[in-house]
Amino acid sequence: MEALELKFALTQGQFLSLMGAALAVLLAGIGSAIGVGIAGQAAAGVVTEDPSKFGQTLLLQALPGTQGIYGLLTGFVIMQKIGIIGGNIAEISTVNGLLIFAAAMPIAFVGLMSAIYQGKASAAGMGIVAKRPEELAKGITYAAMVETYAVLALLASILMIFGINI
Amino acid sequence: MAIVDVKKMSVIALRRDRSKLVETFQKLGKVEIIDIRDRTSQEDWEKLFETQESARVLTEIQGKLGEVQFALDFMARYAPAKKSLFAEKPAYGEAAMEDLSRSEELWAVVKECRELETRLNGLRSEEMRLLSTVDLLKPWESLDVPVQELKSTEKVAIFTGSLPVGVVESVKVLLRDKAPESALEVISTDRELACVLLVYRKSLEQEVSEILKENSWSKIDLPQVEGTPAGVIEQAAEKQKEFERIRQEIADRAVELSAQRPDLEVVYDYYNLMSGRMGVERTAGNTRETFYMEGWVAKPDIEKVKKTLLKRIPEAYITFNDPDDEDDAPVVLKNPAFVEPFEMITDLYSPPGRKDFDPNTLVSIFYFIFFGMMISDAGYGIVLTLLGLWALKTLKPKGMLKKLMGLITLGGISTVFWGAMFGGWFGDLFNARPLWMNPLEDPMSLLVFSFALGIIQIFVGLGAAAYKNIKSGNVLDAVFDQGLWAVLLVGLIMFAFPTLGGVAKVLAIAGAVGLILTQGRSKPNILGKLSSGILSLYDVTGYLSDVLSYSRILALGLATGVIAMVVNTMAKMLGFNIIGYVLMAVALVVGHVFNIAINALGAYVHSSRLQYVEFFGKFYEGGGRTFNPFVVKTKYTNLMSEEEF
Repeated sequence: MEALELKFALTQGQFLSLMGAALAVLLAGIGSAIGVGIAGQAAAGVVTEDPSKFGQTLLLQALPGTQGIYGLLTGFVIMQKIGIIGGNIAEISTVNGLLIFAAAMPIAFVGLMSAIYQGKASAAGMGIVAKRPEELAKGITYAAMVETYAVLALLASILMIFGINI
Repeated sequence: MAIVDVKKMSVIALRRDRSKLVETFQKLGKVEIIDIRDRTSQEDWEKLFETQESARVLTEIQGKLGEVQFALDFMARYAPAKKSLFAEKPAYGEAAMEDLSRSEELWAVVKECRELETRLNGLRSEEMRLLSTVDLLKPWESLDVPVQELKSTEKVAIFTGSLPVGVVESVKVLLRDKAPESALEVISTDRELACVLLVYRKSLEQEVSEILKENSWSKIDLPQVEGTPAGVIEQAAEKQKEFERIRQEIADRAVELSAQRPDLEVVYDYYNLMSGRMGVERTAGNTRETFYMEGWVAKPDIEKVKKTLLKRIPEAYITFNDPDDEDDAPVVLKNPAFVEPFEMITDLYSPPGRKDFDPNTLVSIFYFIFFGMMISDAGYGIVLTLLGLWALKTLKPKGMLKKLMGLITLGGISTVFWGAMFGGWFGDLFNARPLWMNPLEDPMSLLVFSFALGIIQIFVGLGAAAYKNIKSGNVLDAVFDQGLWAVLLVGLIMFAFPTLGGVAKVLAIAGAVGLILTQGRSKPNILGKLSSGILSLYDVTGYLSDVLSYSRILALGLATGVIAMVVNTMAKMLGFNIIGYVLMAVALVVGHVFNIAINALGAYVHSSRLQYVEFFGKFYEGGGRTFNPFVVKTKYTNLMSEEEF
């Protein structure tokens, strides 16, 4: 009985790693949900006037959605690293757990904030679609400027996770 | 590099040939019309030319176009067009189109659509009126007196009105005390107000009105209807059913009428063509027998334009001149087939100015590489290439769409290459071995490689800036502003290689000193020169962030790979029995399609950004105006030409 409990007990390291993965998915996902929501509200306004702009507005709306994907991706890399996807979770020391947790932070927080602000930039870009649809690319570029920081955070997170030896 | 000269064409011809000339221009599609009215004052114009009759014709055509458009929209509301996006448009000759535009049957259809719409509008306003009556009568539903009978008589006053719920009882008491010959009946109450019927003897007017005033009575005028409120409401419901029936009738008729849609679409295109032509004819300056027109023509097309025109209208007189500096001449680009799709990227930023140089060749090379690396999955590359080729072949797109499809095709090819290099074939689905390296195992090397690509592009950008300076005769600017920076940057980069440390130091210091001495050269005094020189070194951080920005190439490449891996892992979890295998296949297809879509968008956006911010920032200004020739524009049909153009 005691042995069985031990087998299923979660070590602190494992918990911290999972927490990191969870936060990456959580925060970046929340950010994207808010960002896509903001952009979607603006998009609906434009489409009320001219339903043929659905495609263009959808493109702009999709932009703040990438942070959530980056978060999921980071979470996945962590899950793969600690072996939870295969079902055999590896022994992880507390130190390594903390390291993985720290590594998840850049994409978690930058993902959260940048998605929201990118959503606002996208929403403003909807105005371009409404008045000068041929200049859509400029609206996309403004939104993409914000995404840069999410990309950098993703890179930092992934490089850190790759760099941790467990 | 590849900016083609444009010439200004001036045409003088006989007035009777005017429509024919404009038609020729439209079908040739190689002339951008200049509206000479823009640079002629009203006064001069009236002195030089006769007044136009074409304005009236244009309004007439646009009116007809509007009517046809309305009929098409009306039909679309009831019978949405079920046209496949990929169906080829039917081809019509101009004569056939013209015949259809005169068809009385079609115009009857258009007229009927208008009538149906008028009926619908009438119906709608009547319904609104009815609904508001019902709304007003609703609280009085339990009143079993016909509304028209609720009128004061000679001696008795009858009123409907409302009182706050709380005071009803006390008002009743007050009335009983002070005005015994009165009655107050509550018909209905809601949360705040009670609707009441008040009857009293007119001689008690004063007492009653005093009580009412103190208790916030407000009089309600019932709508002028016949019958009891309940009866009227019931009738309204009947009427509404009737309206619904009429509406259905109209909808059915609209569906019947929409059988004529294909022909109406042809008529629409015909008037669209005509309105384009009339718009151009209006720009002509007319004299009694002749007219004068101008347009831009790209130099390589001049011979063709001239030959076609003179063949059709031998009495025309045409000259071609170089544009003046104050002319707003458009920019025509001529690039090889590989570069052409990438013009789209530059055009979306800003097309090159007439005297600028065309960056598209450079853009095409870098964009091609970056796009592929950002997706970096050979399987996805194959999908994109096939998609692009298929669209080019079946849709036969023109203009921007054609360039976009070309971009997808070329980007797909690059993606196949990089995917094979990095071993991504639909992620890790086939466990293919990378030809070069696996970015997931050794991301640092790829990061350095991305930076290296960035450094190359930045140096190319500096080179382009230097080239522009030298071409415009500012050799010293090229040496100081680009040359010295290049020296400093090369020095800094060499620090990364320990064996070159000595040379690196010399180069970096030489570059830095050179910049301090030269960057403030436009400042008036020595102090200003020195301080702006020193401050300019701060731009090093700009170059650093430029280079770091290229790390997105690695990041997006990794993202594609990892998401593909997620899709594969999840899908494989499903595959444990027959149904599972089917689900697995579905999950794989859906997952990978999603991944391709999101990453192709990402690759497009971020490759563009690297061109716009990091590359164009070094040298490119743009500000040109794209050549916008007068062409045949049809929405539903293809125009067949009887003659070769």
